[in-house]
Amino acid sequence: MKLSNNTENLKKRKTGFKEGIVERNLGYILLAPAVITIGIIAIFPILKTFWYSLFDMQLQNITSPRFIGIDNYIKLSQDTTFLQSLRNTVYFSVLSVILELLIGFIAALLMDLKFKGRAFLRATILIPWAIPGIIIALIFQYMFNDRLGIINVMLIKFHLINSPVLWLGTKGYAMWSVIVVDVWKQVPFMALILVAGLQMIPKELYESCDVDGATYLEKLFYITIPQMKPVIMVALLFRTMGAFKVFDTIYGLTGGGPGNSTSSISVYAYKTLFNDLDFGYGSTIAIATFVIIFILCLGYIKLLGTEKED
Amino acid sequence: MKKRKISLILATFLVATSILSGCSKGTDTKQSTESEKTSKNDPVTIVWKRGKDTTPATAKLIEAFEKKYNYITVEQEDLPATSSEQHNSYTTALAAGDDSVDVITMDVVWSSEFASAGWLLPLEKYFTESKQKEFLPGPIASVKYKDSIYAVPDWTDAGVLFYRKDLVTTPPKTYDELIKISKDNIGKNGIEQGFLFQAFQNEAIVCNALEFINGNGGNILDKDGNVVIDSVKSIGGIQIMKDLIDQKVSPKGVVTYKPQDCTDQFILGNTLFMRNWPANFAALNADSSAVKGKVGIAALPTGASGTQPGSTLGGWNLAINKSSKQPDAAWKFIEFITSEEGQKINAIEGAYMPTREKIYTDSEVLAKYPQLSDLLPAFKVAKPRPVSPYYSKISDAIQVNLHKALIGETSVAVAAKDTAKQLNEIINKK
Repeated sequence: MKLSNNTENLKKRKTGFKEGIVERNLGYILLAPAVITIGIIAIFPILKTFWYSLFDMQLQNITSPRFIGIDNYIKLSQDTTFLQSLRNTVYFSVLSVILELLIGFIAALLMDLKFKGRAFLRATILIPWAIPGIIIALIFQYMFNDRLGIINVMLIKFHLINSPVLWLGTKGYAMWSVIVVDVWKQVPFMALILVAGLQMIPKELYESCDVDGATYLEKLFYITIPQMKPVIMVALLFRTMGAFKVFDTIYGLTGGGPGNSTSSISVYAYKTLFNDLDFGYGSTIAIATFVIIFILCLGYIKLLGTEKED
Repeated sequence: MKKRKISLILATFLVATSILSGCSKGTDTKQSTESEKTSKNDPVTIVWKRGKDTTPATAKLIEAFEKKYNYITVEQEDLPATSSEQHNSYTTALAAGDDSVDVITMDVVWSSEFASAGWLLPLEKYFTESKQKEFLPGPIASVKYKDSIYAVPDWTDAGVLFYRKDLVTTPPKTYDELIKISKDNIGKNGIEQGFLFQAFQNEAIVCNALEFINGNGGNILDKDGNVVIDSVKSIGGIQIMKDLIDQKVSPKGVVTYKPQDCTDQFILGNTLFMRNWPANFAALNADSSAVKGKVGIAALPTGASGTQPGSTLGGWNLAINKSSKQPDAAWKFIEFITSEEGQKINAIEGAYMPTREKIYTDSEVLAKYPQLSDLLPAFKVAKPRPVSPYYSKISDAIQVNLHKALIGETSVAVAAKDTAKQLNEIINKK
């Protein structure tokens, strides 16, 4: 092991009382900077936000915040807007992650084939993912405009619809517009992770299949997908976390409308904090978001853990 | 061993760049936080933030000011066009005690909110009672909170009716007339739709709805502060908005339109009427507009139960950030912009409606915008939205419920009752 090499080198140089302390705790010492940094920039704000959530704190009142304990959380459990936002977020996350996985997987299979310009394609396919989410949302908002947007113009030209559709102002369509935009942005990321996973599958497995006369689909379902399980789990973990936190796409495209039908929990938290200046309740929503995503992550990591032990 | 060395160097490089990139953020704010020196004419820079101005007015104002006070440099920073986004940009900065902005431009409804949060410098010593009398009463009322005054009205706004004067000789006085004239004209002369208004789920829908409600004799709060948005006349006013959509006089898309979207369509020449803020007149009369010279302005129509046309008091006010390090220079700037000279520049270059009554009779201004004399009576009776530090919550309750009514998710009556219930909760809690 590499660590014991270092330990032996250090042992040779150290003399006196402190001999051995450093090398025994070398692991902790090396981890310390990272843990302290994460502690300051991640854990401290979370604790502070939790602390705010225990108060009735509205910025318009310069009079001091009032401690109310878990009253904010009780209010949250009965808040219809929060429950609707949560439903919207789950709906959005499930659908967009599944779509991203399917489309991303197909894209990855295509990118795995050998053809000229493959390296170029793998680089340029990342462009949608690299553009900031809010900019994509604003551009798509223009494209989805019912009278001036290019999407309706094209759909009518190709006789797919008869009259302009109000994409962002009709209840069901608005959510689907949001999903389409987010899938467009995230598929490249998904595809790239999956391509890396495909590359790691040993070629011998396929060769032995060919000897037995397997079809493409059989190879896909019996070799490729089982081998890819860990990579798929990691990709799903990233994307589910990202989807639950969704903000830019929704805020830029619909602002949470129409009638709160596309409002996600992050959008609701943002509006409560910065529109209403209600920092107490807004922090409550933020903590609830954190807890939900944390539980999801734990679930995924547990699944990943059991996979590795096979 | 070589691999480890390379990865160690790479790791150190990554850590170093990430730390350094975090450090460099402070440099662009350094320029504007020079502390007020004892000598009056030491060079000073103030930062002014406002929503993006699509007219040359802002540039001309700064030019004229810097000529007069050559020791003060004004750095103007743009904010997004919509009111809500400007609001959030200010709240995040001011709540943290940021001093990188000196003069802020506030929507007419924010004064009580920002003042009660302690973010604004009280202006009594600069903006005396006698000076206040030179301004229109509505805007002055909007900058007062409790016993103090916190901003100076820069320009005012009130919803008006734009109409194609080449196709409609007399503008309609009631919404029934408007609907009839629209139906008669759709399909002729390139007209595809009758009436454009804004019902996007943000402040836009509140401004528009208030006009329909007031125009039908209703209100959001009565003069004693009681919630009356669910009164028969108020519901009747909201119903007019729904009827316009249902009878295909207005496109379904109005629920996603903000002021700019309506102007973008009206400018193409396919619409007969539009409710919008007067500042849009400049764009409609630009050389690239298909309706140049064909647009008239009038007061909005009334509903069946209304006696006076509704017109929501809009407008923007200038205030000084309490944490500003150069309040005196900031005040000189505000004083200049809102002086007669400044308001004339604003009116002529940008079609911004003045808040000083005297400008409405100025010959130069009237030469360019003769309709100003017709608009003055409207501005004098324009109705403000409810004044409260919790206006955001009030606005949100109205926005969500009325939007649901217009997209057909609930009936107008149910939406009004839900709004009333939520408004009562907000008002009684404080």
